[in-house]
Amino acid sequence: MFNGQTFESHHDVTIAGTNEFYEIAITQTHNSYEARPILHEFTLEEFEKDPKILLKERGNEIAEFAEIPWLEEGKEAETEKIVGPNTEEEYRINGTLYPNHPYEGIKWGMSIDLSTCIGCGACVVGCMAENNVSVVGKEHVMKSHEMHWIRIDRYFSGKIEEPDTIQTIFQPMLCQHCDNAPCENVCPVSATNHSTEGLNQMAYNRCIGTKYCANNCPYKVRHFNWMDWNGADAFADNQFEDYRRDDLNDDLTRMVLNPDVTVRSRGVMEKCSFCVQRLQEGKLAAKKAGRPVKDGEIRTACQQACPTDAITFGNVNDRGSEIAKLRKDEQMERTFYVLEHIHTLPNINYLAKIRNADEIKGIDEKKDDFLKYHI
Amino acid sequence: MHIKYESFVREPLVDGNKTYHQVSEDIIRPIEGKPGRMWYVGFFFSIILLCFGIFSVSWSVYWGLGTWGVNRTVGWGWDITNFVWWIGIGHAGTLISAILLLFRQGWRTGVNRAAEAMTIFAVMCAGQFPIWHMGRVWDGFWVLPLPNSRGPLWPNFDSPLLWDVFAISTYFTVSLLFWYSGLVPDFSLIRDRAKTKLRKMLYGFASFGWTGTAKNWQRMEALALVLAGLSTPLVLSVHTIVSFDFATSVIPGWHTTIFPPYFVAGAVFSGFAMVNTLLVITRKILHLEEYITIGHLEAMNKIIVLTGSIVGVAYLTELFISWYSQNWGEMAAFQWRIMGPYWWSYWAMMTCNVVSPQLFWVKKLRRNIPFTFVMSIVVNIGMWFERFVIIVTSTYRDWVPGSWSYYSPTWPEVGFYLGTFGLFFTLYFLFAKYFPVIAVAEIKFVLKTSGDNYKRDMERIEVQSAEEFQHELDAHHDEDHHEEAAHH
Amino acid sequence: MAIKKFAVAAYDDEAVLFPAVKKVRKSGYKIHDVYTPFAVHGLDVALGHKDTDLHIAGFIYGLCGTSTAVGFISWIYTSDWPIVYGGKPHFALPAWIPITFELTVLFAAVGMVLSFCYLNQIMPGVKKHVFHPRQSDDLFVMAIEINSHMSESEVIAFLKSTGAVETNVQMAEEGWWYGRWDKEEEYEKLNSSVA
Repeated sequence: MFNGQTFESHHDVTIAGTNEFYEIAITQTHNSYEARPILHEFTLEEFEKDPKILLKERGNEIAEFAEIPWLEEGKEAETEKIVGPNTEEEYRINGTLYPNHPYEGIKWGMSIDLSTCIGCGACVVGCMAENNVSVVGKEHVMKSHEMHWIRIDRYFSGKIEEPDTIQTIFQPMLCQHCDNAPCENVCPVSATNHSTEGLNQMAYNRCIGTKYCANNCPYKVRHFNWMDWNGADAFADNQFEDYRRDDLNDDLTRMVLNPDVTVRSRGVMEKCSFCVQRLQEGKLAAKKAGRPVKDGEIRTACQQACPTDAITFGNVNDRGSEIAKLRKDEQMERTFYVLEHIHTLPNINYLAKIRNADEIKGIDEKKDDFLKYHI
Repeated sequence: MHIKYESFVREPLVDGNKTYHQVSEDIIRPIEGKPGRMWYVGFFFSIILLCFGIFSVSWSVYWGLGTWGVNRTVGWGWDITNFVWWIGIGHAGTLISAILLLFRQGWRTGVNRAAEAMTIFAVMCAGQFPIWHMGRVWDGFWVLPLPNSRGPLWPNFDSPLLWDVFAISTYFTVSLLFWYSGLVPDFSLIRDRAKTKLRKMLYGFASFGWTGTAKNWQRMEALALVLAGLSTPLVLSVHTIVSFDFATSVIPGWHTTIFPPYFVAGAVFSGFAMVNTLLVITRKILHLEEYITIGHLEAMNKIIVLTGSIVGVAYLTELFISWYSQNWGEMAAFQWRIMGPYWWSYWAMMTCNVVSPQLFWVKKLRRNIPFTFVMSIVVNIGMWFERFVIIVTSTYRDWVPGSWSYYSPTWPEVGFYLGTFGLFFTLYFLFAKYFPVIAVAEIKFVLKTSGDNYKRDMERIEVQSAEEFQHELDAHHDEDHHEEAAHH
Repeated sequence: MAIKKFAVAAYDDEAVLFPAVKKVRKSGYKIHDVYTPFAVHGLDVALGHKDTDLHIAGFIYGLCGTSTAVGFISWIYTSDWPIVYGGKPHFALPAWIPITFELTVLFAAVGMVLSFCYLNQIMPGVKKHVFHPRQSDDLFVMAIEINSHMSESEVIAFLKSTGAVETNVQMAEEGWWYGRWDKEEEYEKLNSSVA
């Protein structure tokens, strides 16, 4: 009986190739970011030469939508397309025909530093532990049914024959809590909407599982409960194998669940909630103490787990908070949003990766086989 | 003088030497007799398919949608492809009944009853998919704006899926009303001919006590005209709203303003092909070749080549715009459609939809029955691939490459689709046996104008000179005047 | 409704029917109704019926649909439970157009069909007397009510002179009744004693 303290050793083994195939389950099947502006990386040299390089790249995409030309009487059109201190706000308002909802109270925001992220995956584990995210097993991971609320997208660039020169970049991807969320528009039963604090709220018990919100999410961060992982629906015990109850249908295993977070039924959509249970707890504690929420008092699970402090979280409307200072001041030149040109207005910003390398391979087909062969 | 003259350029709509009674006989006799062997065989297979479908759906509901191949990246696969496919097919029936009525096309009378029945059955099949693809079907009624004790919490009227709910239910209801109101006089015919008590009671009930007074018919025509006027924008709007499921999203390949007209043209295209599939078989088995003539099939094929060309132009426009837009998301989406792992579905779509219907420019092929039948199947296969390409090849590789995936259907999804064929054909076989497949009253209405023998009788007017014709007209006119004067 | 006596004439050609209708009306007989297997254009005018207002009713029902949709949705979104969906304003009229349109069509269609049934006095289970079994097949059947001042044989002779291919006299229920055909069988007995 193996109990972790027994050892066995064999010396008479041989290794030989077979012609058989063994299936491995992976969550990410594509390794190149296809030179798409979903992430930005610069060498230290080019960034030092022009610190505004990222702001100009972003300006090319969004600056012209930040102005309304026919209202700018007498003003020359801006010749330089760059993101200035007011561009984001103007883009928010002028990039749409609809009026804007103001967020005057707390506005939660998160920043993820791609330079500091080492892709260790602690945030993924922390999130799953905190939020009762289901482990679906090999069979279902192979069908792309995995449930990770935060995932680390890992992209390679470089020459395949020279593996030591391959550049890797990690991008933790989670619900961006878009102020103009494409998912909220399309849910037929109002199961997802926007809170006054900027959170995209998911009402699990209202969801009927049409999966349109997941289709419409450009970041693909919404996850569906494809099977009855939690024993939380009306069809009893339909996840057991070998005629024994396993997974979370077992009373002992269920003790791994966090009692502060509900479990979701089969057929329901779920995604990152910015650890709303922690937000509520923190706000309640602050209210009982008769003071506003202090910056750093509430930490999301992923932020808490990250060993390199790549994740910063806080109230963007609080001038003194770390996240506000990061976005508006300290790291403004490295700040970008994923897919901001489709005007989703995400509440998570990323900080561009600055490499201590001679060149960025991921944007050049000649240097990057993964881009060239689209693998 | 009572002239019912129609130009000889127009083919007769009813062949042979038909009187009103003969029309009734030809169409109603199959209902009154026992069905043939073919009917039993076809009905049996349809029931088998339907049962397999019910089993597949039950399996999916019990175990969970994880038994399907849809996943976190491709959230909709065969389920919504089939939904749009069936709804598209349904639009042909309404177009034939409604739009051709408004355009005063007499030839619709041979095909409209069967086409409208096809619409209703197709919509019933289509409706299965949005229902059973839900993760929590048992809570599906939450899409309805019913007062409740949860707030009351109402559905989200901004959502295209909710627009679908309203659009499909309205479309089904209006089609059903239009179809049934046309059936009422025909049921009264069967009732009046009924020899058995059961048949008289059932068809009497179904005919609502219709007797056909002048005022009844006057109102019937007004109703038909207004329902046609309402159904026409419905044909256009319902499939537009279905296209909004995709057009209002942010995914490249979905987010495009060409979808509404593209979808509507495609719907008419596939619907007419399905009507042809059904009619080629029906006219043969029920011996109705004199009512559903080659001329009718040719007219349908002309519409097929027209709408097929529109669809082809739409595909080419999409390709052009994806390049012209210089939008990296749009360009990549089309690159992956044409050359990515799903290239085979794209080229199947292009071959079946763009290339093959162009063959209908050749008159000989338009009037060839086996070719029409084969083409109708090819067109529907092509249109299935079109919806598959739109839905799956847009989502499987969208904005963020880290989430790219692949989709393959599993057996419950295929079984579900086969089950809807079972449902459709079960209903169609029942319809063909117990309902008049041609609108009897409408055929009688056009008989003396467009019937073969009546048109031949008009030959003498064709060869008359203008003076002779005027003389005849005046003579009758004087006759009427003399009669009037005599009475005063 | 009541049982009356009717003189019934059947014609087999529209070209004969129209002059016949004209003659009968001119001679002062009141036509109860003309039953045809399909819509015969011009017959309603020849009989002196005025045009139907069904389409006006349809229009009004449609307007009800439009106002119901816009009113209900805007009340929900601006007053009852305002929610932020995708950053859209609470009064997002462009998003409500499809549903508004569909409800307009739905109300118009259903309302019109119900009005149609009501005006024509038809409904599942309603029965009316069928004057001739071929009136839905290939004959155009005219029924004239015979009251006590008229002579049966005179009316029949007159109808024959207008070109009828068949004539007879029947006792029949004038209006509609709900229920079974048994009532119909009672007339058969009545008629066999009259003919």
